[in-house]
Amino acid sequence: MPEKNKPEQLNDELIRKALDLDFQAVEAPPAERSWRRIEAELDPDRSRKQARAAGWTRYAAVAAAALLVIGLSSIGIMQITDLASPAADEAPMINAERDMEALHVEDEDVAVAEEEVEDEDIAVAEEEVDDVETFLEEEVVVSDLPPFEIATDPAPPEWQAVLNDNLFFEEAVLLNAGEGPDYKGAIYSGEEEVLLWVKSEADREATASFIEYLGEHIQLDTRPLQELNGYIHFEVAGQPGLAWQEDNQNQALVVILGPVSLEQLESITAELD
Amino acid sequence: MESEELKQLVRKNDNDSRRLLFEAYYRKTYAVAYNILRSRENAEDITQDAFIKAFQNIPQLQDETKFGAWLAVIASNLARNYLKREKRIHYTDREVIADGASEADYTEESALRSLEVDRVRQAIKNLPPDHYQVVVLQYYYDLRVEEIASMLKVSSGTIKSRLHRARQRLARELELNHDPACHINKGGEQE
Repeated sequence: MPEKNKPEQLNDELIRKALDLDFQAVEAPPAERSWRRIEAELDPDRSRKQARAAGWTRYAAVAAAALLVIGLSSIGIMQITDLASPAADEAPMINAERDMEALHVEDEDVAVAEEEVEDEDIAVAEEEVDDVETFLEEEVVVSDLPPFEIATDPAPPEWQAVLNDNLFFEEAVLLNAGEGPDYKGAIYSGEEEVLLWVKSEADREATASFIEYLGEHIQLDTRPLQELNGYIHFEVAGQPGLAWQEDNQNQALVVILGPVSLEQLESITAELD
Repeated sequence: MESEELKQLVRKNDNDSRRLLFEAYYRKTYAVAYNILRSRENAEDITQDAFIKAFQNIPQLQDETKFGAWLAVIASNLARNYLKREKRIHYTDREVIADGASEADYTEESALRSLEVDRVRQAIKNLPPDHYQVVVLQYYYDLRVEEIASMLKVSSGTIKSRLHRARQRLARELELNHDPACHINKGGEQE
């Protein structure tokens, strides 16, 4: 007599049931992540639109908070260092890895960040955007400089669809500080970070003024910029952020929500036009 | 997914259709890759590659209603090739299957049945990749021996042989007292 938990006969039905159960029980990784990679491989142009529709909500709260901080915070970099100065431009990069340690997020922080982008938290985060705005308006003394106005760019330049294989184009924006030219920007989202890439079609002086403006509007790491090798550290809604400039100050990049490795940053900046 | 809808999606093969096909077959394809590779990361990569290859080569699919099985073939071939490249074989000849009988309620027929299914499930997982592949294609995707042979580009005899050895292996794994009573699916020869 066979054991009680042993099938007496290996029949077709039993095998089908077993396979069916196995396929149902498998814990597959997030389908959205796989789909975005497949789509990017098959049709990069469409993946940009899809990424905007499917992935943007995940980062909307953080990105909105970041832009609000850029627009509302009054803690000035100019009190610490001059971003537009030759010294900042010529900051040696050989010690970048050492200085980037401050950016690297500890494992426990990564776990927290991952937890924070769980689906159930997204809805909460989205609801909290209004709260963040209210908080910033109440708690931060608005500087004399007018905040950035941010709008969808009706005539965007050709932004790259994907940066570094993991940052997907989300939206082209126009940033304007009330005076001077509009700054063209692009928002990219990745698994764990958001990148704001800003450049201007205006002359170098105007672009440099944006960098100054940006510096005046984000909460900064208080260490001298030279010590940070040109990277500005800040925090948005509890998430680490990093800003830096490229192309002889003609372009600015802001990354929010770590972890971002030095290698990632270097490979991203290497792709800049 | 209904056959007619599946046909339309495969023929269309635009972004929206691909998305629907992906959603319908993602878990199943991942499961096939995972059961061969036993690595979440590698299985995810292979699954993505399988979908990309499938969508890029969709005109080669003769019967649109067999898209899922075709995808499983691509995924399992990719997974097998990966193992060959890595020279890693995950399965063992006689892996010990956990026996949950001591805690089971033997009076419940459903519980008994569940244990049976679970043991078979574990035994299937322990099959070598080429045996697992044909078992999935025949018993889950309901392909005939000739269809499996055509998809895998081998002879029907090879498929029959693999199925026979797979069932023998399952029977051994389950320590059955008599020959398995499986039948080769529609169109095939009964054992």
